[in-house]
Amino acid sequence: MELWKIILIIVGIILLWSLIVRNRFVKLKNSIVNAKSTIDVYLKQRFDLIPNLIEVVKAYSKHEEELFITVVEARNDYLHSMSLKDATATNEEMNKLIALAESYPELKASEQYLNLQKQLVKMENQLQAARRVYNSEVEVYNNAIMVVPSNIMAKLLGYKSEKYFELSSPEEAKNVEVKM
Amino acid sequence: MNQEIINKLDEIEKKYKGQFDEKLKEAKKNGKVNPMALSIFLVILAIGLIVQVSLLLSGDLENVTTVVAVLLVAFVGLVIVSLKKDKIDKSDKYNAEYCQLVVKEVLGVVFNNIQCEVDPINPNNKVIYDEANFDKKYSIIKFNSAWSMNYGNHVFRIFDVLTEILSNSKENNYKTLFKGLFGVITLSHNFNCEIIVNSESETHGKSELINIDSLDFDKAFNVYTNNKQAAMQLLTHDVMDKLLNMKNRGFKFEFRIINDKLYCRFDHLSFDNRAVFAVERGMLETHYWSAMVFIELMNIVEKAIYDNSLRD
Repeated sequence: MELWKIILIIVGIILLWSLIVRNRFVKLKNSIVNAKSTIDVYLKQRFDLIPNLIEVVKAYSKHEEELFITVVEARNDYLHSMSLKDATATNEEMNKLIALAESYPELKASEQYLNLQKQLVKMENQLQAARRVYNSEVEVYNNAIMVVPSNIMAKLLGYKSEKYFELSSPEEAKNVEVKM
Repeated sequence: MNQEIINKLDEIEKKYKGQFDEKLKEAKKNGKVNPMALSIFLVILAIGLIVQVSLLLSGDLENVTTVVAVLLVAFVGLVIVSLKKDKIDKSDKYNAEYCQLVVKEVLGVVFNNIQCEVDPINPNNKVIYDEANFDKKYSIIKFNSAWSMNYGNHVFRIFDVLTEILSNSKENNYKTLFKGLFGVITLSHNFNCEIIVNSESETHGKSELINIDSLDFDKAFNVYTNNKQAAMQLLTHDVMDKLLNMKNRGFKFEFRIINDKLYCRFDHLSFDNRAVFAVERGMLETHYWSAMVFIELMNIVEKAIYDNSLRD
């Protein structure tokens, strides 16, 4: 076989491989976007409970205005930006609110709070599952762009590794000291 | 196994030992010729004799030999068929008694309201097995026995099943795909998706293989689903630990959740392969542990449903 034919075949194979790898990167990236949007949905549902939570806590503790204002502002910031940074901030403030609620035994036992708690638990579990799905997609994507020889294509096409999604849980917030 | 369960199994063993050993011996003996078969042969013999006599009278000696040969073959065939049918009849009757008495008592140690269904040709059994889609393709399916029972608010249906596939059509060779227990339970939540947990790598239609964030679990099981969110909600770290624990205790099982049904199966090879229908302690314990595995699996899934506030 002539040299130019061999070179043509090799180039063809490389092009085909590049196409396959590129398409795989696109699919993996879309999976991450999809998983992220699922997290956003659950986060929004969770943060939508903030007004109810404030109403319930207010009945037992009217001295936490500062906390109430902070958490509402954080929520509004998140709804405006939908960024991870604002989600983290809102989540932290919300966890403080939950920790405060749990420090009042009468409030903890009230029917209103128990219903709210049930919804919070459900959403927490959904969020945790969504976070695990997201992190699983990120792991697959990061592996795909780092292994040889796909990493060559990834560098040429400008694909960079994604960060894992981290969000603290209400249990972690119980360690936070809340001023009364 | 606690002392109370050990004592109950001791009682069952004492009660039925000897009784079923005798029945087992009887079932293995040669059967008598079926009277119906004998009557049919006598009719054929009478016709044959008439034909023979007429041939003799007409001097056609060649065909007399042919007629005698045909009569002999017919007689042997009738005897074989009648004996085999008699053996099968005895075996089915034995199966029914064993299932209704011995196994029912063993399962009664754990479950309530046990109904024993020994109709192996009930088409509904195959429908239920096919719904689970454990074996995508098989040539033969046999149900040795079937039970339905209550445990709390749940209705269990458990089947003793064998599936085989034709591996060599020329030599009529069948390869066993699965031999063991298969069960189905209706859950208190409809997942509206498919979640498959097994140890084999294979394709499952629209369900794709997903990564699980637990190295040990990922090594032991493969998880396929068409809804990753639901699968992750079910397979929390607590659930994965429990499933791993079951596997490490020697139970070779796989299960799948399809909408609101939990299908599970595990093979008899998890236990000693004892003689079927023998009232041996090993066999009684096999049935007991089978029941416990199903209950444990159901409890794991139901707890996950409760913890996630998913109950419908």
